[in-house]
Amino acid sequence: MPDTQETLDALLAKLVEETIEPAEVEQLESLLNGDPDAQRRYLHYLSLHRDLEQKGAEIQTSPSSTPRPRISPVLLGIAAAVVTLLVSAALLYFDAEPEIAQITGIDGAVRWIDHRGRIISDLEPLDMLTGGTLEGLNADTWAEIKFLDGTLISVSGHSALTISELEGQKILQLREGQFSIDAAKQPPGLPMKLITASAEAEVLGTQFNVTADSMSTRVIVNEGLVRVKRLADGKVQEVAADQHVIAALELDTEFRATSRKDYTHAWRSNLPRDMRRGLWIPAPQNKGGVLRALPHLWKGQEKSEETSALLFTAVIDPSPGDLPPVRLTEGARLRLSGRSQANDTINFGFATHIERGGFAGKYSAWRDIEIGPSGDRSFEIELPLESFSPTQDRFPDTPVHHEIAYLWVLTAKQAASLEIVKVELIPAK
Amino acid sequence: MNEDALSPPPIMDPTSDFVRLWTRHQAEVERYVYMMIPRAADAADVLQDVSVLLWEKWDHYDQSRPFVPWAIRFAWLEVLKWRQRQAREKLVFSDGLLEQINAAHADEEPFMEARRNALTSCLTRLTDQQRKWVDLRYGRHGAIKDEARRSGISMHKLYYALEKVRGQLLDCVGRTMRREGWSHA
Repeated sequence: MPDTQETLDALLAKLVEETIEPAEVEQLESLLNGDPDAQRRYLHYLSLHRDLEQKGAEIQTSPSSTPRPRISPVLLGIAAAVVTLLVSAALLYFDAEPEIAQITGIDGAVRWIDHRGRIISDLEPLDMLTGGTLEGLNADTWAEIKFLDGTLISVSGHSALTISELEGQKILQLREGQFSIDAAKQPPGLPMKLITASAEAEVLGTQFNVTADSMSTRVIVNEGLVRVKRLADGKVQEVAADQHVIAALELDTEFRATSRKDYTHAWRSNLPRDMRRGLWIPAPQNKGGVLRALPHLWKGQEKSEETSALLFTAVIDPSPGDLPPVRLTEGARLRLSGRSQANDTINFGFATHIERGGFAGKYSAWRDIEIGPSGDRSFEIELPLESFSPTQDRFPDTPVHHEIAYLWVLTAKQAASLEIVKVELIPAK
Repeated sequence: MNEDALSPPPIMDPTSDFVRLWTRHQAEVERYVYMMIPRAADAADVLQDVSVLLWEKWDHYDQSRPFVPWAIRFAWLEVLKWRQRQAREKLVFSDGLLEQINAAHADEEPFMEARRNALTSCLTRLTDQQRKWVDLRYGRHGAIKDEARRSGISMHKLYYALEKVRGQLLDCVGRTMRREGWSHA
């Protein structure tokens, strides 16, 4: 039946373009199942697609079968006017906001606000995106966006990243949080632009990681070259591979591209310096202090039955500023010392980058904590790296040899009033 | 003295035999894997595994028999292994359907070469506009996206036009095959 074949062809087109949705795969499966004719169409269609891909260069260079007639300049002028009118009409008729990227991976609570201001909380891999803002709502959130030219961005943790494309130029605006980018070569004269509260950067094609908040921006370049401008004074630094730079709003801070330091394999948090999220509560007489987990509302997924929940999270950056990156080694253990008002179940985890590279994965473990009998409400847990599981199947099984991007501690129990005293990475002896 | 008498007897080099056959037929095996796993990146990964497996099994290959069916038998095993790893994935076909497609492929394989030849002829019959769509999609990586940006026409519309051209090419290939006496087409 022609209608069935049209449906089949439409699904096959989505299949070969890899834009097919799970429900459409089910529909395709039901059309193919037990139908030899549909199966032949499937094989012919995919074979055709593959052959066209292999013939790509030939198609481009082989002459058209239709001889091109000579056209007078007058006719050309009329044709150009007609084409202009048609293109204008097409622009009005078709959706004027083009799709510029696709979600290729997602984990945790993520919200997308599209160019019309619509809020979408049920993004799924393969969803196409126009311009808009992606918000990571939790410390263990992660999303991967692929631009149509192959440029890949991994956003992790509490983040707000706006993506857009203006006349072929990509613009990324990071309000807060962090992302890792593997940028494809950009068209000549149209460098990708990165904007934060404290810096602007231009990128032609490279791999780098960015962390930003309202006061400062850190750019770590792993491949290529990134030109970073500090907005406070307009000064520019070129950041090469294996270098980093910090552009802060305070002008008394250093703004200079410097080589990244060698890895350290043992690390102990220094709070509040390493605090990225939480409330710092100093102790009397400056004898230490604690980082209290801060609440934030997690609204759950739109299509799931999970209800909204208040989560309490503290996030720590092991290598703020120009401190050396921290690398995980075989046999290492993480120790968390804290205080809690009640016995609780916490989620302890970390995000990683590959060695001198971009985002690698997220790993976490749930543990019950029992406060000590001493009355100071303290607890301590020590976990070998093997206790931490990747939060998605696609992440590597083990984080060994990765750099720690940040660590988080999270609870859903408000009464616990979770506080972090210190976190340590203890390498194997 | 005869110089040949001093030369060592010719030794069959299994590596070069394998490389020669693999190079010649890789595209056919790749096409088969792609039909079973229509996601380019996954298909490429599985193809890598197939090539390793074929090399491991090379000692058992009877060189008097055709290479492609032998290779596809092992490719099918790798497809099944991949399918097991994707048990929870929603974007792959069920085991039952994969079995059916594999069987259908065995029936279709003998006609694939003729279909490819027919396609070459059909491509020359496209109109300029149709050729442009095909060229944008397959001629240069990313060109169709550039066109979408340049013209302001959404990617959906461009891909729809391309879908129609693919349908016409398939019809043309079928007609050409029938005209050439392939009753199967």
